[in-house]
Amino acid sequence: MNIDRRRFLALTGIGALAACDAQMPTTAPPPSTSAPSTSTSALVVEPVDLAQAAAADRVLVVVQLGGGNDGLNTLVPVSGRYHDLRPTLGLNDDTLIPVPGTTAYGLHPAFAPMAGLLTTNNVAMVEGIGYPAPSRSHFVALDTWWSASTTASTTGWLGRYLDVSGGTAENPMRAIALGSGSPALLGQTSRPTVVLSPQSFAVKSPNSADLLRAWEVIGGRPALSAVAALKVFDELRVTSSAASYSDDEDAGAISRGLRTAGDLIAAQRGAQIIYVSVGGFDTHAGQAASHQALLADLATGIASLFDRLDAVGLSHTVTLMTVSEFGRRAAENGSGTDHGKAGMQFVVGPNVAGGVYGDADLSKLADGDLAAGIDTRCLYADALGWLGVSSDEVLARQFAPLGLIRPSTR
Amino acid sequence: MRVSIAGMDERRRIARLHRRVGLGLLGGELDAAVGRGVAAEVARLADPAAAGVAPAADPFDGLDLSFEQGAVRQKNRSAVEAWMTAMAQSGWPVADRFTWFWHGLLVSSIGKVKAPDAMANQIRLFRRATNFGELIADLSIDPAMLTYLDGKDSVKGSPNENYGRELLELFTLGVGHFTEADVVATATALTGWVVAVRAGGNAVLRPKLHDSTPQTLLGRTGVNDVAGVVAAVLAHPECAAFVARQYLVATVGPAVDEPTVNTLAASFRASGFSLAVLTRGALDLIASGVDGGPVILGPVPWLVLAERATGARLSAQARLLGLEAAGQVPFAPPNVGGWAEGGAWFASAVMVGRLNLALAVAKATPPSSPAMQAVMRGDWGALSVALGLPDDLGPTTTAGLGQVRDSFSRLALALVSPEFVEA
Repeated sequence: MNIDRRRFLALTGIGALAACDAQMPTTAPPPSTSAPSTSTSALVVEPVDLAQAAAADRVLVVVQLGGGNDGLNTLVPVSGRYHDLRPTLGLNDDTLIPVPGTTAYGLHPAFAPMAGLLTTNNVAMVEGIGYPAPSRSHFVALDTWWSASTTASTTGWLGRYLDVSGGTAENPMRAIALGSGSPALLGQTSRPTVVLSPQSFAVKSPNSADLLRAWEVIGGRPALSAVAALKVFDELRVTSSAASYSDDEDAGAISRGLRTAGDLIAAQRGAQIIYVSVGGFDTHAGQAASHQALLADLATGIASLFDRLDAVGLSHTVTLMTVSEFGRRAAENGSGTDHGKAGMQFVVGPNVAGGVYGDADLSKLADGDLAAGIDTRCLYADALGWLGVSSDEVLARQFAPLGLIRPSTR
Repeated sequence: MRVSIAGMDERRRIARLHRRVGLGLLGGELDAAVGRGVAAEVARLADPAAAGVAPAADPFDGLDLSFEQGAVRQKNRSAVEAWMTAMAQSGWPVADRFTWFWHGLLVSSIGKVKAPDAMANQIRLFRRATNFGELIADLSIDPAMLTYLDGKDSVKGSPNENYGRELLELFTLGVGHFTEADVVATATALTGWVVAVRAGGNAVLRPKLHDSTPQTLLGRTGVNDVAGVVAAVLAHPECAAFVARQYLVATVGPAVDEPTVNTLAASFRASGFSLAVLTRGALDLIASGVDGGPVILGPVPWLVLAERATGARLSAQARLLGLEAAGQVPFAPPNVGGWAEGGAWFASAVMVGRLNLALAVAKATPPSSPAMQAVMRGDWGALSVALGLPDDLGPTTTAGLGQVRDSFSRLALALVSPEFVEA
């Protein structure tokens, strides 16, 4: 099927009979009765507690680094081979930020703002992650990351999670996409509320109550969801004294998105999955400066989010992860890097067992790219465990989590 | 795909021609168009000059858009506003809608290009294009494109794959019809074209930076320049079908079937890739009752249709801020794939943005316009005709409209109704 057609179908939700890996149960699974496990075995999934999940006691924040983040200049393998591949873009070993527990890697200096989170070992770095039979196409790779399926799918992995755990009809705030909407959040029935800017998410009319009632009739389901979300945001703007809601021109897109995410979590209105989409990581040229700025934005945004959540006593409820469609070519192209395959992702939060998972073996490149040693769906299995479901409910089959999120300490 | 010959009446076909291939009818024009008949309407749309319409003026004529002189943000706004105005007042709606189609397919963005004059020049390139091969050849060394997809940084020994990959994947062939080696071959053959876009310069081939080693591209040997790349791409059997499919999905409808695509692709190819074959093909298909399902109008074409149908004239500020909140600003597509079309326009934020924009249109609509007159009378049949719709507004929409009293709300709601948004 033509890729544009696939994208269209995914976004409209039509063509629901197209091949989809996942066999989805129509009802939520019974809660597990087993005691919380302290086992470190990778195959043990956290106990299911949908009641907690529904109350948004466990929030997942996903940051999509659109364009394909250069993993090798994010978490840098300390080796001579790295410098051979990156004669101009290579970062000096002595400028790298140390990573607890290993001398084989160091972080890009832009991660200085995350020193506190690194010290408390709450930053997991998943190195060499991707899909089998990866594509260097942005759109094929994005489809795969969104759907968690290597064949055409009309639903996203988080959308299917929403479907099996109560859906979004009752609370349109449950899944929120900031920036552009993400197909990862589309289920068979579940839909995210998509917000470009909280400030502009309001209807400007003196007769808005009548107008919105009529719009619900005319616009059908999408209008109903939009009106429900409008009501919550109207209330938030009025009642949340801590809410920043400002479009700070100086802050980067990631920091602004994560600031809004913090507002939504602090407001405790049942926001459970917050998906922040940003672009700019397609660094084919002039990478040194632009990548530095993007990573600094990411590091500042993450550190500020957890500072904010610490201040209101909610950090323990939140885990953040990054996704990106691919890593970049191991060898630079002069001033940047072209599309590659495996990359690296972060998982951050007080419940995260920090450190480097997997590896970036530059002696075993495949067609010039880092090969994936960790399947993306294993990372998703950790996230799904955090949210209270087993991976086989959402993915095609059971995937062993990496074990990087500890059972909640509350 | 539904094909109806006898069942589809004249009004429906004529309204669809204007709403999907053109820029919609001006308020109150539908009756006259139906009177002229579908064949005459196709002829008028295909060749406005024959109906006495003056040649279209350059929308950016007279604007200082240079990056070097500063005030770039303001200049960019002026360029976008000029283009929106040109579309709203267009006497050449098929050509102008076609230009908009190319902007969403052969993507560059001001966010990276930075120079409004280079963006305007790329739109001019789309406007004057008559042949796809020439268009792709010019695009490959277009200053905005060389900047947006990094061709200007692609040099001998360090080919940059960005443009080469997207030329094959997004602009001409699609995934599955080329290899990674073809990406490298394209990038290598196009090395050495440099431009200082913010100095307003044209692209120049620097022989020392150009790798003239003959490449094998898509099975064709000896490719080492722009002409060779274009020839190899056009010779690929998928190229004509890919371009025809993109255009028919945007006009005849997303469910257009492959035999229809392949028939038009064969004519397109046989014509030597004449672009007039595409627009005429879409007009003829719709005129004969072929329907690939509703085309969901993105905020830009939707706003142009709404302004033309109501006679509203929005301020530059209202247009630009409104389009931003509705998720589609000319010159600023979100990424190289262009705007996500279709169901993405039903996401909460952009729907709310569009409702606010519809309210602005309603407030800028002259009281004497047929649409406003119909709204004030509560005459929904007359409103449907005034808005140039293929059918009367349905019972759900009219029930909703009946719930509000003020005319502005009524008109705004009609403009965001499925009947108006889905062309």
